[in-house]
Amino acid sequence: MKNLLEAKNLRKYFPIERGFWRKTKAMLKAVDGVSFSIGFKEALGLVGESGCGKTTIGRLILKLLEPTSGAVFLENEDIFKKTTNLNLAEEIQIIFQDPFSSLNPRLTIEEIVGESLIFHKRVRTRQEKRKAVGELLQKVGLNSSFIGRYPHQFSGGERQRIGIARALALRPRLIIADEPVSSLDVSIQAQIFNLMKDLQEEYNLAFLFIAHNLEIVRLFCKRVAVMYLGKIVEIASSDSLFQEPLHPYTQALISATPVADPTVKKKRIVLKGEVSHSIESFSGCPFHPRCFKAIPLCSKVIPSFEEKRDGHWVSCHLVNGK
Amino acid sequence: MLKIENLSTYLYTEDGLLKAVDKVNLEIRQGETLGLVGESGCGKSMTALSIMRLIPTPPGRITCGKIFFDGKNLLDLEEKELRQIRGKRISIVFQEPATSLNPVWKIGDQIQESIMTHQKKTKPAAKKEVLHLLNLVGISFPEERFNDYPHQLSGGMRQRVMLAMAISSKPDILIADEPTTALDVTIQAQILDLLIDLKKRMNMSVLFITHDFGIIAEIADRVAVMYAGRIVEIAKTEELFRQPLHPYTKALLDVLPKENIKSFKSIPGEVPHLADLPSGCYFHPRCKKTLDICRREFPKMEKSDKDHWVSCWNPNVSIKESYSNWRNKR
Repeated sequence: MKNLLEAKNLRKYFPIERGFWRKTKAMLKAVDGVSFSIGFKEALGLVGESGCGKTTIGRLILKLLEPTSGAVFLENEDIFKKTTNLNLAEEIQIIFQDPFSSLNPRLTIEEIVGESLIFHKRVRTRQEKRKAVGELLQKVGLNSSFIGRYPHQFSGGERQRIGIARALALRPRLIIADEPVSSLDVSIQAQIFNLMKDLQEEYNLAFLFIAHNLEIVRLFCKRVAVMYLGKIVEIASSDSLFQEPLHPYTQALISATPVADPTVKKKRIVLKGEVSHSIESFSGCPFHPRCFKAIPLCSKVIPSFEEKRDGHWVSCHLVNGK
Repeated sequence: MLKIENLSTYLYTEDGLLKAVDKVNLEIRQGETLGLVGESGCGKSMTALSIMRLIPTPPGRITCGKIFFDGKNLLDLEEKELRQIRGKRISIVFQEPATSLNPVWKIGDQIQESIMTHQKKTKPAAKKEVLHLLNLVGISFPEERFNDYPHQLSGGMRQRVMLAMAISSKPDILIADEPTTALDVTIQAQILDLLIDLKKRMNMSVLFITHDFGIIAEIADRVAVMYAGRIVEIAKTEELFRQPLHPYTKALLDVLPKENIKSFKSIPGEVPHLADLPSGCYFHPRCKKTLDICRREFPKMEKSDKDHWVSCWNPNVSIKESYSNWRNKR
């Protein structure tokens, strides 16, 4: 299958500068050798705890950050190549987590949603813009008469709809959804979730769905990647990931998610300690200090990322191959 | 243990009168964990703050009601008497540990201060107690951590410090206001385990405020569901999940992602703004089972069986039926 987007060995290190001369003391390895692909119309989930580099990956793909090394291909075209004539904004768009800070409070909804239409010359006159924005608002379930209002006149769920309309304006092929529902109430989460699902069908969108809530990712995505400290530790179809998680971190993550059913008395795997800093240099598997299955080998050798089951990639010494 | 009767806390704001907590009746029993769930802005935190008498005045004011604790009405107490209870016999842990600790004080000193005020201990004795507490909440190397400032700790560690402070006076009731919402799932699991363990050890009652039914299912004995300032349903946890009577509770449970279901059911509309509440039952515009009377009158709390209360004109299972089910079961 041909892929829409392919990331190859992507790295992003941030220098930690200290002291008067701003000397680089250490490197924070936010993303450390990550490879994955997203097919056409596919939703790939990206889960992990805060600080594991999920958002940095999103920003790299949007070219908001330059990678330290590695490449991202959009249909065989390297997006970081200087000579590219690819117009990235027309291909990839983003929906942000916080609908309160991601909309300019001084602009009307028409300006917020229509800005990119003007810039990319999709519309020529004001009437055309109005019409296009009105249609977009209807698509995301808002009344098109809201066009002259300002963001503060909307609730959180409605603002997130505006954010989605803005992302849709240029008809991109890939949308990066960076925790799009985690700041919303449960009843609103479901509405936004269903909306995104409908739009995915209608516009043949591919999604990179960044989240920390496993249940939502499970419903939305066919494939899921689990990140820990800048590395992807496991990628699999969501069915096989949830039925048979191979990496101990994924197992712990799944068992730590509370289940809304008091009759289920499950044994929780409670991890010791916290995510260590990605600055600290350590040898071996990044997860070994917290791992409940660690063997001496884990602290010495970095496990390679291998396909251990059909389509199920994992980097762990303890998982036997096919 | 603690009994809240007809409590109303109103906010007098520019937008008009907001009934943040409206005629709430609730009791926290000896040794139980009571879960209080609802969406944001439904008055969960305001209820907790009312119990602690920490409502910012103005704009807020407790307009009526009684809160009985240990035979006394907390709302009648003088500030001086109240201090013997607040932070000593009833403690609270807030959602955001980063903002509830003082950033320019060492964490050890902050806990020590609370011990010295409430227990009249000398400084060395209090310090010893602090080290013991830090150990109890699972902070390794307490002697070194004693001298750390809050910014040197991670979110999970800060929440442990908050818990250490809250349990320092061996309270009878611990109010936990979304203590794990700001934390990652693996850290959340640690804090929940710690809370369950502490509750057993110290023999406390806990009022656990959250919006997450998953957490409720794991730790609460009874649950109260709040909507727009009112409590709409109270029941034992298993009972509530097995047979939710209020359409809102049912809708909330249906919204949760479940295995084998490929899409979410959603609740139409949004939580009404407190300044602009609908007439009758506050939930009726979003409800699937609206009757005429729902638009006119707010339903009273009714008992469906021994421990299951609901405020609804047209519950999912009629109250009579639910009552007879309960009798038959016995």
